[in-house]
Amino acid sequence: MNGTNAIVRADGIFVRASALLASGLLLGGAVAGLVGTLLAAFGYFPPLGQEELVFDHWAKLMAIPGLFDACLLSLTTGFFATALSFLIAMVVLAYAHDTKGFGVLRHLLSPLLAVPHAAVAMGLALVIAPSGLVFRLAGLDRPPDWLIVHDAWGMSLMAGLILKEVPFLFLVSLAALPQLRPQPQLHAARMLGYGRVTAFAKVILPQLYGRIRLPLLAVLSYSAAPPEMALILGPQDPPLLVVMILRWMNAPELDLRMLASAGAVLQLGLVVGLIFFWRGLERLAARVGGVVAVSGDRSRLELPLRFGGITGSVIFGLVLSLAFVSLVLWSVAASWRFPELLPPEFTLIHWARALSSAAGPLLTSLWIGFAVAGVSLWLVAASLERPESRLMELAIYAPLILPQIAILMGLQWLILPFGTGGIWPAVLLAHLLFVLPYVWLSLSGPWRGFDRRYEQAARLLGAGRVRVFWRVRVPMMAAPLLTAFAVGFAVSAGLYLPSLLPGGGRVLTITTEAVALSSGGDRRVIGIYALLQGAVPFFGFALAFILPGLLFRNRRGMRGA
Amino acid sequence: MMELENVTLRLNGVELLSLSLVVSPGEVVTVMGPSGAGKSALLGYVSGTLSPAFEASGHVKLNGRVLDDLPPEKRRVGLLFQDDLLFPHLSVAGNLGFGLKPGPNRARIIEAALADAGLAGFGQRDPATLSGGQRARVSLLRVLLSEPEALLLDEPFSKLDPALRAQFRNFVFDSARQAGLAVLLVTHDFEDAKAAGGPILRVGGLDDF
Repeated sequence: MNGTNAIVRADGIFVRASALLASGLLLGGAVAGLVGTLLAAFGYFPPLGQEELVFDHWAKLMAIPGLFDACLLSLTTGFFATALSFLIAMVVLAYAHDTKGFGVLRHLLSPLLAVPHAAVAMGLALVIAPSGLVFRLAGLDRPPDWLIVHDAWGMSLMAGLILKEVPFLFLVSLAALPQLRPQPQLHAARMLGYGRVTAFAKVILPQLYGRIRLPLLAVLSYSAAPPEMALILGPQDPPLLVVMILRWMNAPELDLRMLASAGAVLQLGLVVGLIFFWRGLERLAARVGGVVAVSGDRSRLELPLRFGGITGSVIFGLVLSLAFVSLVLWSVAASWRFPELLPPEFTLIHWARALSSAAGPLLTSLWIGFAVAGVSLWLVAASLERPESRLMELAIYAPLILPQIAILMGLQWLILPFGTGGIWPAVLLAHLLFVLPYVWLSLSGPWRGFDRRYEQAARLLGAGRVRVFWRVRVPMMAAPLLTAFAVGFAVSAGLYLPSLLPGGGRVLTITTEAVALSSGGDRRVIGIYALLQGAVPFFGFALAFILPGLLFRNRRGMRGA
Repeated sequence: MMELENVTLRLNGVELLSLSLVVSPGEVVTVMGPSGAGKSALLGYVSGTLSPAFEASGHVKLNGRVLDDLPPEKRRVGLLFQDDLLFPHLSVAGNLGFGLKPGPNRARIIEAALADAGLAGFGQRDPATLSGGQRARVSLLRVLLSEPEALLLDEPFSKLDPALRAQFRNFVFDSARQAGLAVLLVTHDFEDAKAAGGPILRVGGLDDF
């Protein structure tokens, strides 16, 4: 090996240690959380003096009325919300990805990714409620007597999930698409007589699927147990399993905590089962698709898919715009009785009142977001300097694919011995678990795509590793670094369970407050908190957008980096 | 004087090239071969930036110093790539200053170098606003100001259009000769090799010639 030791790589001891810390925190946090949950589920719960392994809590869990329905609802919601989101995202991608309007669509969907689940759910709830904008626009003189929000089938919940997951799947696919070099293949298929959507479905989708499987499974896992969305939109009697678990957590009887842990383990089982089911369907689809792809059929699905895709997109856009309008109108309405299309009088008094009480939670969200996004950025950048590894991939996706509640419940038990002193470290760790993966997904492409020859050139000009990193790599990567930071900040600001559970209810963020107030029924307050909560993530994106332009205003080569 | 002794490069166990050569100060030695023959890897080896995918053995000496285990920044070897690789976030003068060692009169040295290259007054310009030929010249100046003892050329003329190409080639060779640098050029273009006016070594399959 003589003479080859001096390769250009920035992995000194600090980088190695940071990368190790990153995978250790992710895997360690996830595993520790699961183990804590499992132990409590089997009755090992030292805080209550329980140190024997028993099955009592399982027996109690199985005897809960409505448990079967709750599980079934979790499974159907998770499956259908994911399948429909996937279908819509793919049709839109197939239809739009090489058209002129595509850039516009991409810019419309990207910010939506930053809006927290809770804000989307609150907006949707205001629109589709019997007294909501939809029925005002329909010209009814009395609100219909239907249960729409909280419907027993979980339809509103699925709609809310779809609103949130379609943009995610769409953008994830979009990021993976260029590596496949789809254009020449699609042109070839179009020349052979295949329509836009059919060509995409038969030629590109089979290649694309493997690259978006993990994000898709993350959507599946989340949709089977979406805590805040299920509270705001989901069925209530019986609710989804995750809502049952949260009710037991909030109950004054402490031994219900062990029942809740058993429930969280059951939730884990449901998600694992759902993933196996999904993988089975994948195999089936691959077999059927393999036959259909070469059947020579060119047109049968083209028009229905096109029609479905366009209709879906229009409804999607309409609902989202109405949701936003509803939130804004409610937040400034003095009063707004039913058939009135617009509030007759506007006032800012509710804003003034809400802002003074929201200031504390807002600040908490801001500083948690900054701290967690900053640490994530450091750990991710260091990890990306190391060669790609299966372990890191596992560490990145473990927190996304395992149900949040199964990890967080155990983390909460583990910090109990440390008293209130353990709360903040636990909240920060919990946020890191779910923020770091998204920072990774945002930064890894640009970071790995960086032209290493710039670093070689800098080294040969006499600059050492550290100088090259700070003077060449960081400034040239300023835009992707800031974007990844903004993504991390946005994710953190929108997290609900990772603030609620490890914080033991003592850590109030704008998101936990918004979800708590959403059940109160005061639509003005709901409007204001949903808007505030939706606005926080944009703070980070505004920084990411403005800073590179200011720093490099005289450098054309740094634009659009 | 730069000496390469028994340098052998392998990729996945397959030997790409094996050679020994000596380059005197002011001389240009050309290594010619088709793409994939390991020419760029050879320069990577000499400069200490070889990708870990390659296995290499042999020794490199520069003016009596053994380079084998030195990191790239300690080797005093300059490298011109196919692309100019000017740092987009720095001005022209910033790029030149990046390579120039600390010391007095930095601004004046940079100005003088720019003036010699026909780029007087370009210091505060954004490199993205320069023409291809101007960028190539700045790129060479950046290397020269870092005071290397040897200059490696990795087909730095291949992306320039023909008129500019001959002009820039002469500029590079003249500058290197003036500075008394040992120059190692790798190329697959015979015109470049001829213009270099030094010994030519052929490596790899020769069916392209």
